[in-house]
Amino acid sequence: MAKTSQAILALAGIDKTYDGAARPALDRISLTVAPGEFFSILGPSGSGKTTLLRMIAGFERPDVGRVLMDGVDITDVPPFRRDVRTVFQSYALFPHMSVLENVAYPLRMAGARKAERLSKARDCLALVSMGDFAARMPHQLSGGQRQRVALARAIVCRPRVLLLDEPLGALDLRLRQQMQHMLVSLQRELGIAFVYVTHDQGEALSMSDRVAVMSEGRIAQLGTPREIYFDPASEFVAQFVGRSNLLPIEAAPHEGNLTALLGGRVLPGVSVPRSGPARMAIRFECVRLADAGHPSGEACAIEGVVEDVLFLGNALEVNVRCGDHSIIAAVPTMGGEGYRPGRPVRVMFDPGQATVFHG
Amino acid sequence: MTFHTGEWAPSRRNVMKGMGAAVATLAAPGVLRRAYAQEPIVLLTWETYHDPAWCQEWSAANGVEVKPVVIGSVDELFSQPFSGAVQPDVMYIETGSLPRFKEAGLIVPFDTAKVPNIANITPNLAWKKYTDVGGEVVAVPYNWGTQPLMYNADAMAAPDSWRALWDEKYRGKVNIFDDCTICFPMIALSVGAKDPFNLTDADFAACEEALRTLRPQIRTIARGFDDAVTIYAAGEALLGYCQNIAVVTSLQDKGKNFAYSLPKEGTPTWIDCTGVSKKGDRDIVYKFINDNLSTKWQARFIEASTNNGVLDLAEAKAGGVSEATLKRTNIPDSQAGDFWEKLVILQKPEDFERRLQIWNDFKAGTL
Amino acid sequence: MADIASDMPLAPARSLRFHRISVLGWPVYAWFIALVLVPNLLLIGTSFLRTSNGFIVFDPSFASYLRLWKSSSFQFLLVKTLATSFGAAAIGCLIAYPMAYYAARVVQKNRSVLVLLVIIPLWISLLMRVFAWRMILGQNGILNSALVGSGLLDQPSEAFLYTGFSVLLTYTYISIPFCFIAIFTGLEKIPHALIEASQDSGASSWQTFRHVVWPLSRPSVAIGFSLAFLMTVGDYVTPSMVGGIDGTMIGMVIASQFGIANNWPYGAAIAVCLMVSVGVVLALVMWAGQTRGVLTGDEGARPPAATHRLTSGKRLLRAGGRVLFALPYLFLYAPLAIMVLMSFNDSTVQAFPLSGATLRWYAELAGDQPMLAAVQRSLIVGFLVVLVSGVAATGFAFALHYGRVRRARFFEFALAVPVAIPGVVLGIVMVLATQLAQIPSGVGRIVIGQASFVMPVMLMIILARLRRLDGALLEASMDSGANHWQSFVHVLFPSIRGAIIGGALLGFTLSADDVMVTLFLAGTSPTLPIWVWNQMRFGFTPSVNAIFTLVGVGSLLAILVCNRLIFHAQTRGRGEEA
Repeated sequence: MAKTSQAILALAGIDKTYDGAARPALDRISLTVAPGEFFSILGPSGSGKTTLLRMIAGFERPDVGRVLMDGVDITDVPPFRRDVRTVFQSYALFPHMSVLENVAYPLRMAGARKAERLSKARDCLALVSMGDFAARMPHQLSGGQRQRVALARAIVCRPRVLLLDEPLGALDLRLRQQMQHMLVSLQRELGIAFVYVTHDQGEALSMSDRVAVMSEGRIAQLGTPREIYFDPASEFVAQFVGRSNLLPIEAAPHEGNLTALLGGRVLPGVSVPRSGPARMAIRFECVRLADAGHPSGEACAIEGVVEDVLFLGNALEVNVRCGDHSIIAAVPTMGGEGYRPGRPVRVMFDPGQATVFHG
Repeated sequence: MTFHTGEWAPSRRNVMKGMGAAVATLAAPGVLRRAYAQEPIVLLTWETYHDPAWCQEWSAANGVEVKPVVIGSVDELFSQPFSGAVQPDVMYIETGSLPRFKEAGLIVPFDTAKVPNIANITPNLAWKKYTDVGGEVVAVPYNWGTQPLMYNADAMAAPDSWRALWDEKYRGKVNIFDDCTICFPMIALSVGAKDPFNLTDADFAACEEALRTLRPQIRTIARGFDDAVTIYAAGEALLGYCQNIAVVTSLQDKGKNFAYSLPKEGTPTWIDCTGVSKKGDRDIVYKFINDNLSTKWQARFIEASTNNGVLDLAEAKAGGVSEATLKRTNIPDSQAGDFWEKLVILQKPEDFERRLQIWNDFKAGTL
Repeated sequence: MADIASDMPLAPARSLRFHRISVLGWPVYAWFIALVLVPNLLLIGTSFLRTSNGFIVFDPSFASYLRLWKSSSFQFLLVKTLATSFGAAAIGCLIAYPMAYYAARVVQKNRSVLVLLVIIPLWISLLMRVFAWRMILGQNGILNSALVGSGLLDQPSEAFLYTGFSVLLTYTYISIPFCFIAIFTGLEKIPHALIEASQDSGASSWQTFRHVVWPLSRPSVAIGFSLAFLMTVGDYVTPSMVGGIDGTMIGMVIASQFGIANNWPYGAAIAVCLMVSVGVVLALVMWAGQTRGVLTGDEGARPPAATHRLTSGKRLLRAGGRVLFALPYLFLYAPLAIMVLMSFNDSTVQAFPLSGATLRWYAELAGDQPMLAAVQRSLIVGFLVVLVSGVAATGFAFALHYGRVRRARFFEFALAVPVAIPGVVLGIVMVLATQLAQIPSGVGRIVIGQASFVMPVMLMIILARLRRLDGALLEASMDSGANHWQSFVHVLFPSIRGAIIGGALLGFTLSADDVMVTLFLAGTSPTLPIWVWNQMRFGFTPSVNAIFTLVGVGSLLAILVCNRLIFHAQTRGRGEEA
């Protein structure tokens, strides 16, 4: 709790159970967000991430626990008195107001004079490159444009924390990429702390300073994108973040050491904490392919036969059958032309890149 | 009705079937209605004149359906056939309106020869003078009545003049009914017009003034017989112009001490006459009218409604009307010769449209 | 697939510019001409004739309008009528808005029951409810008894009944359900995210209401206001019952011109003036109620139930809210309670004090042939009206939506004109038209007259549903090899069935309770409300109370059963999903 004093936002021991629900929506959630940080909450639908966001915004109240902002308890402060703004998943643009009026709305509520609020709103629209659309009505805009207006409305007052609820969910890939770049540069420019809720691990990893992965109302892992990606704390995180092979292994004493066995074959170098059945996660892109019989060196190696190949543009996903298991390897398209179904190959990976979970 | 959730779950189809059956059951009496050979006799009549049971009885005996349509005012009586909304065979029209109905072609000359029961009509009723339009008899009486001044006998002694309606004491407690044809002659009588059916401009001015001063006295205006009873019974009015003395007798039945008096200026009196339309100029219709004037039918009508009917006192007694009922009608009084002098039988007014305009302005409060 | 395409000339689903007169469009034109254009032209034409000795002279003239121009009583009554209806509709909206807000956005459970409870009183004859008001407001009525009994008044006041107040009160009473339904639908559609977005932007509850909720619900308030205004503006029966002599309204003058005065041209001229004034008022209301922008998406996403602990003050506030919410219901049900009470009262006079309990009015029901005939006729009329209107409205909705009618927008609006005509005028208009077509009075006329205003209502409901439908549905169906007819039967009809049933229920309600239009068309065959109206003027029997008590109890039971069925279907559906 020592960090609380520097944090712009802190959640302490939040519990929340809805009426009639069997499981809690949020279960002992604690986290802090530093000023100017890009903080993501990543999780599948139903994991409680939107509830958490609404808790920060003030639309929900925790059963237990406190929400602190700048060290001040704001748990019982209504949403309109919190220095927090939200970009809604549905954008929630007021349909009866023009784009400019929508953006000026928070300023109007704050009691700003008309000339001032209109000029500020224009500036803000320019910031999200929507300056030319000020007079339009929301229903005359495309999804991406609405998204940017909603963003402008949320930042026009320069809140200290901006909450974004899956803001890019409804956009197509190209727009999404554009918006990702825009969000990151905007966040740097404004210095506002962003709390970004998403179920898309790509978005979370690419933009965030830190990521909290949520599952069933709890934080499964909290760390930098790198930590989350390369050092998943649980099987759930491994599976949800990135694309991993999950292989059932057996940990048994072999030649005096505790060794991992896959289908009876020894995987040298894979460290296993205790004996018994376990699962090993290895990311697609950490798996290399070579001709059968190729020297493996330090790496673990398994023989198999190519079953099918998916063409993804910049990479190929090659599904290799190794006895009872399938292992997928992502290989660059360049140089991967030779992998055809039926071809025998050798699958290799560094034992250091594999993570083993017991359970 | 109890339903056990989970066990009782009618499918939509079953519900639809049930509804279909219900509709069929409801519609069945309409389809299976007894068919009569002749076109039905449609009556435009007043409440209490033709009890559905009596009509059914007659229909069964004569093989022709009788459909009584009850109307609430002379206004409706005229508009319904004129607009074609109802095409009646027989209408019950008060004497003053007969010329108008004749001019509009709603009634045709009446063939008195086909109605021998005319002989049953009391000689006291000088009806021939009023049913003669342009030298032809157009209707025969079915009922007559006075429209006196009625009052709550607990609240006042019997007033002898229409001017009681203007008495400041009864402000807000005076009731009249919404019928220009019948109310206007009373107003004319109250201002002392020589001929209440041929008003001069001076008479009109006096009537307007009288209506203007009458308006603050009036809070309620009865839309019909029953409406009037309800208003008086609820204590919303203490005195007023009486549409039909059945209002008074009905109030007495409910234990309310109401009475009526015949003011000295004269009391408007109506004679409701049976007129036939072109469509109704059929023998079977005349048979119906004739039966309506039989002693038996009339006595039953008087007994049930305490109306005057058209019978003489002796005939009424012979027909079986009880003493108690007779006492409530004008029949015993009407035996006296001077009784008729206090009555003013309704006639055709000089300019109906002008009267109506004044009446409407009176109601609107802009007179 | 090719043979299907050649069998049936297919238009793409949304090509609204279909420049060829399609056969499907003809019924729309026919309906418009027969039930809207010709009748109204007849009325307008009549107003330019004049009378001589009580007969219409076919001689164009402005005489009637000149007379109106000079008549101060006409102008006074017109203004009074418009002002009373306007005031009642405004008060009705003021009362209905908080109610609707509470029902649509505060209450979480049993919302449909709350809405139905507002609608049920509409199934009890309006006349009966108005009649009951006399017993509440009169000299010996409940209100006066309570006030005198509690010592607030020394003696019964005359101020409550047979005054302008009582007319305004009953008009307000009539207005509330219509305002409520319209406003409720409008409020329910506002996405919850917008309200959160406003709070998030720093707006307090009041500011959120002022800047977001109110502007978005304004159009539905305008619709509710207009409906209520229309319900009362042509009604002269209600004010004549509770208003005493001050209850004289313009409708009565119109009726008297078509009746006793027998001056049709003058009556037609007044009717035209009333129609135009009402049109102007409605246009102004709609103009004032418009809101820019388009509300996209039809879901009013519900917030998860808030379950935070309440402080005692908040609990008190919530209890207070519930009490306030219940008050208008009391207002709506008070007359019905009186009616039920009177159905057990052992006296033929409908006045206080009561004179003992009896069941004889119920016993007499079975023997009252004319009333049973009227009930039966009402049901038959209602059924036929709903059938005719339902078939026509469904057909027209498809013709309009799938571009089989030229100028669809115009026709959609034009078909709805009878809805915007005051009842008394519409009744006269339909008399003129049916008279011209030589349709005899009775059930046939009533059905035509009522269908003229029931059909547009159903059309609006079905069209609204059709427009929300995924445009690809029809294409998907035809892509699967179904022709137009098969697509209609298997895909489109099931998806709009809810709207058709809802429209039919509403249509039946409108038909069953109509007095003003039917009064002119019924002739010798009165429907139940007309029969009741006649009863009230002469020879009222409390059996009328009994039958409407039974109707009320019946509707309540039906609703409970339906609710049960729907609940059952839902749980079953959920079970299958799980």
